[in-house]
Amino acid sequence: MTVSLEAHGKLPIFEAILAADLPAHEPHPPRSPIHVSHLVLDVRLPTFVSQLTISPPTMSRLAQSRAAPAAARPGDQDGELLQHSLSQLRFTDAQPEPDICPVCKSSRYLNKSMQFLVNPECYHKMCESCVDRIFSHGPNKCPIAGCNRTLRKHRFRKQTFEDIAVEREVDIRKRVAAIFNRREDEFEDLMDYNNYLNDVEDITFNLVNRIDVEENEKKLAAYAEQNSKSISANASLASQETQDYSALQAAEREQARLRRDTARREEEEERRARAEGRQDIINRLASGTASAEQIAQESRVTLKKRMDKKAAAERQRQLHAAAAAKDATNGSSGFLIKGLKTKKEVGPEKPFDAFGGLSFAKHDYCVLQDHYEWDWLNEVRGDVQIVAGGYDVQEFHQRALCDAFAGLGVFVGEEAAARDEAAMGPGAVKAAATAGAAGACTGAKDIKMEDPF
Amino acid sequence: MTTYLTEDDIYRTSTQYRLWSFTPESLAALREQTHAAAIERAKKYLGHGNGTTGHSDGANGNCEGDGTVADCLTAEEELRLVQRYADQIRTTSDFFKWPVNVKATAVQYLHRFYLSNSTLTYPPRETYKCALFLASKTEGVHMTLSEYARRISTDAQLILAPEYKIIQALRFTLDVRQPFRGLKGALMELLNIAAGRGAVPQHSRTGKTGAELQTLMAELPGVADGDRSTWAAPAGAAAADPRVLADRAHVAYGVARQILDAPALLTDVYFLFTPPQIYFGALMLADSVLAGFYLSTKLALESPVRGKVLATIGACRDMLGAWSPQGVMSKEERAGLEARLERCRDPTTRDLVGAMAAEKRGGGDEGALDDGVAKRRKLEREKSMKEGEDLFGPSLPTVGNAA
Amino acid sequence: MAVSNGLPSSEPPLVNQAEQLDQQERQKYVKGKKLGSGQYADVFSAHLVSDPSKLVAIKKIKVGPEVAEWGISHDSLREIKFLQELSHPNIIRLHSVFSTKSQNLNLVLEHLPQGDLLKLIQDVENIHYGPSDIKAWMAMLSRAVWFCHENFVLHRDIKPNNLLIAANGEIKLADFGLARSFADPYAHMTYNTITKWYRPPELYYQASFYSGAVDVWSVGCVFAELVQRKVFLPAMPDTDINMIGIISSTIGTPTEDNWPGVSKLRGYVPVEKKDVTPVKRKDQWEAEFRAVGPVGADLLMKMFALDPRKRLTARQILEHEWWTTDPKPSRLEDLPRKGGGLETMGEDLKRRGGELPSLGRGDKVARKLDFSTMK
Repeated sequence: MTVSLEAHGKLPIFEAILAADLPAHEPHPPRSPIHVSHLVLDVRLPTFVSQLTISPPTMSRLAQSRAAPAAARPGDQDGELLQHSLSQLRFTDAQPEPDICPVCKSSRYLNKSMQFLVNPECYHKMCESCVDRIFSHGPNKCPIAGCNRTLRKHRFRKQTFEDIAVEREVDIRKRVAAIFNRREDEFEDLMDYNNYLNDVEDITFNLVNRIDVEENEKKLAAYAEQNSKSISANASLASQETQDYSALQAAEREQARLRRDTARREEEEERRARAEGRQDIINRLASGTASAEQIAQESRVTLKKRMDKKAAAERQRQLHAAAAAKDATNGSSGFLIKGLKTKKEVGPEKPFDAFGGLSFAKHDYCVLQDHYEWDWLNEVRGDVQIVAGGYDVQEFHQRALCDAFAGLGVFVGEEAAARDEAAMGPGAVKAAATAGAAGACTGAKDIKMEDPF
Repeated sequence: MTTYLTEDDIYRTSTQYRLWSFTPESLAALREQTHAAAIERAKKYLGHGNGTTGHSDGANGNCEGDGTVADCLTAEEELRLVQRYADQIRTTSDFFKWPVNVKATAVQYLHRFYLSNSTLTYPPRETYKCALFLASKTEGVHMTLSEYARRISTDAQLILAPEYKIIQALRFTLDVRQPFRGLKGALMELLNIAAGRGAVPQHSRTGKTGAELQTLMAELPGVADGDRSTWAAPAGAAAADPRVLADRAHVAYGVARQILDAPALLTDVYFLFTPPQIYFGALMLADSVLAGFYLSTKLALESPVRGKVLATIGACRDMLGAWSPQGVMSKEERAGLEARLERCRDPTTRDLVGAMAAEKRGGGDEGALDDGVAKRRKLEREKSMKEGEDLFGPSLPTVGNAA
Repeated sequence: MAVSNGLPSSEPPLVNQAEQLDQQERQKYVKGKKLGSGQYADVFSAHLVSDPSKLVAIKKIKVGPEVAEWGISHDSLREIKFLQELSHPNIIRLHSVFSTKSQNLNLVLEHLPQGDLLKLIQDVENIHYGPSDIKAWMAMLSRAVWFCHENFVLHRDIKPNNLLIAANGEIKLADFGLARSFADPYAHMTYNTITKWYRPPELYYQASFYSGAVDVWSVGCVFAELVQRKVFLPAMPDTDINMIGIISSTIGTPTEDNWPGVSKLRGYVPVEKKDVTPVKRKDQWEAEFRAVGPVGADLLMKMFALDPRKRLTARQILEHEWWTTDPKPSRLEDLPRKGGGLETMGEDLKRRGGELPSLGRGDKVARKLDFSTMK
């Protein structure tokens, strides 16, 4: 009988007792252990209890009824019981693979390569040959005495953790996590996310410790049903992320390799070019087609050219690399976020508006023309000094017409009155300003804390 | 989602709209308030007509208690005095041959200043030169102070003394929106209509083509009675001759421009109306028929704001029309008022130059002050720390003399 | 205001409404430490008394020797005037102005802690950026310039150190000390404006009448500097002649052919035919500015048209197709920040010994062990 290590302040003795007798059923405490429980549960290990964030489970409801009088009891009794319970725990190291299969009783000595498998239904361990023998023809009952569960062959697997309880817990967690897989950024607030995690942990805790199993399983199933879409979406996201991550790593490795190759190649080229050049110079000098000075001059020029080209290429490469890196990681803080952010987009992304959402195009009163029958104005066009400098008469047209109508429809009397009414002293400055801006869009404007006298 | 800013919206972002636009009532109330506060204060430094001089240290006996409260200018007189000096600014600006925007800005600065200050505190004779100089700076005329002072034969320091006060009274808003360019814009459009090349915006429901507009313009009756324009249709010329029509527009423009120069600047229109309304008012006063026609090309008969716009322009026109050059104070009257003012003005502001210098000397820079004090404290602290190790204990704290 | 010296004033001076409001404004802020100091002004960090999290920068304009000559200086007046009227997300915000007892002007500007664009460009070691970032920055700059021009204001001092960066990464155009309104016809403007390296040729030729195109040239210079990470037209020493020279050699010599009327400008420097550098061709621009692609190079080329009439206007810049071609401009949160060096050092020093660097919020969120990958 394996003993489960203490978990979350659960008193191990009681747990162990129940686990041994009733491995999977709702632990309705039988009559006899009540006395034990009464004594044992009295031991309120204070540190653990203070960390309990969940409502006390069913068994300690019993304790609660006894707790009041029990709490009055002094502490020396606790100490004794504590010792007792601790000594019951076997804080031994992980047990090595047992040598004897509990079902067929064959030992490792006889079969060197004996493997043990467990079934997540009841977590009973048996050797491979037993599994084959008993379950190859279909589902069958668990051979361990007292366990009546129907087991199937394909569910048997190698135990990953030495402690079977941990194995069970991990399986439960896997199951729960597969269902409750919401992500941090789906929550508005860190607090909300933590609350969610807390609730999930409650359910997990209950399942692991066999508290209200039915109820919690129901909760699981209900949640799974209601949120099937989001669950599958999140699941696919997670798998996408791991894919991307490995893809990114591969890409980086590729890059590094390419860089090494190009560097090697360039070195080769340079060496070859230099060797050739030298050969060429020797030939030329030998044949007398060029003088020494000429050669020196030329070599200097080519050297400079090469340096410039290299510098330019280097700069461009840097920019490219930065650009590529940026684009690959979406410019964001980490590679894992890539898929997630786009999910939040509402519909297709809007095309970039260079004007930033502002436009002066709406002209209520006039149409801007590019020529006006006014000599004074048109003479400007003829003056070279003026136009060569870039002076644009059209800018003046625009301004004059804008000035001609900017405010024609603004009725100072009314708006100021509204402002004054709203502004009862310097306190209501904002109201005053907004009243004045009534009817006008506030795109570029930001009425500030000034008030009329 | 694009935000469209119409011309009106652009105007609403200006400080002129936000800070310096009033209803006639609120404007009057503000002036009233300023005046009352000044009178209240005057009571403190003046006698009450029976010889008692209130609180007076009598160092310069001649300005204290000489005047009486009865001597103080009335609100009406104050207004007219300010107006007189606004006119003075105009003259001076013309003397310098500065562009009209400097003139308009300077006059507005003066008017705005005297909304929150009374002439009793700052007689306009001492402030108007500074207002003009300030306007020259903000409107891009680069004349040095010494040059300016020389040209108007005034001491440079005297000119500069109230500058800070003025800019404070302006609430640090220096832009003045003016109607002159808008008037030019109107002229440009009228000229194009006269030439048959007028155009109206797509959504306007006047829906006329260039030719139609020209015909409409040609069919206009002559200048109405009471309008200031001197244009008259030349005999014998065809009514639809573009040159004739253009001429009408030019004449109307000239008259309106004159109106914008004098009455507009000397009345309160800048506070009560927007620049387009001001120049439309002037245009109405010059040639109401033409102005009416022009407006009709902008606002269709069914337009919802049409009535209000017409009413507003009408009100502005009336205001402009009501003003007459005789309204400006005469030299004699001014001299008389200023003599009274001299007796009853606030003595504490008499020597602005000295006050400014004292301020700069005594007050000092806040930041510098803090630095100095901080440094001293730090030194003291260090000293006391060192002395703490001293056998005889730290030295007694010296009384720091705060500046 | 008037502190008397010898004048009888047992009554406090009349504090008018404007003064009251001024005082109220001053008391709204708590001044913090000095952020910078220059010959023209000091800048302090400050925050609202009512809400210490709302930071502002207070620029206190120094009263210098020019006071005797001018009174309050032109630059200060211009800044106040234009910043009061312009309100746009990419232009620095002037919240208010107040004065201190000693009559200094204090401008309350928005708080822009991330420094300016010049620092980002010059920090080649630590800051890396790509074409999407350049596009994002250029979009913001172009928008700011366009807004100024729509309000008929010429900035006349566009350069990377006047482009400040806000906490969220936005670019803000600052320093309107050289700005002015567009001129009416026949009105002269000074040609001695804009920092030398960013000044267009028409100003070197002493044109007294010009338009928004002068700002567009500066914008082009900033664009090129962003790409190449060095000043595009650095003439040293920066005399006019040298600048004309470098403009000619880098972009092309202005002649009557490519700029009709240029020879009539007062400051025109005639050039012998043999010394004329032809205008840079499109393929040359593309070759030099490969990083932004041919479309970007096209935009850049048009910003550098020698003839100001042929140069793009601010609106035309925003209507160019570069903004809508790939790559998309980076989002604000993705733009490179001033980092490395002192800042991270500060972060590092904040931690106590033995503390692990906090992985963002890792310590506040329950660690999720992932069992799903187990077989």
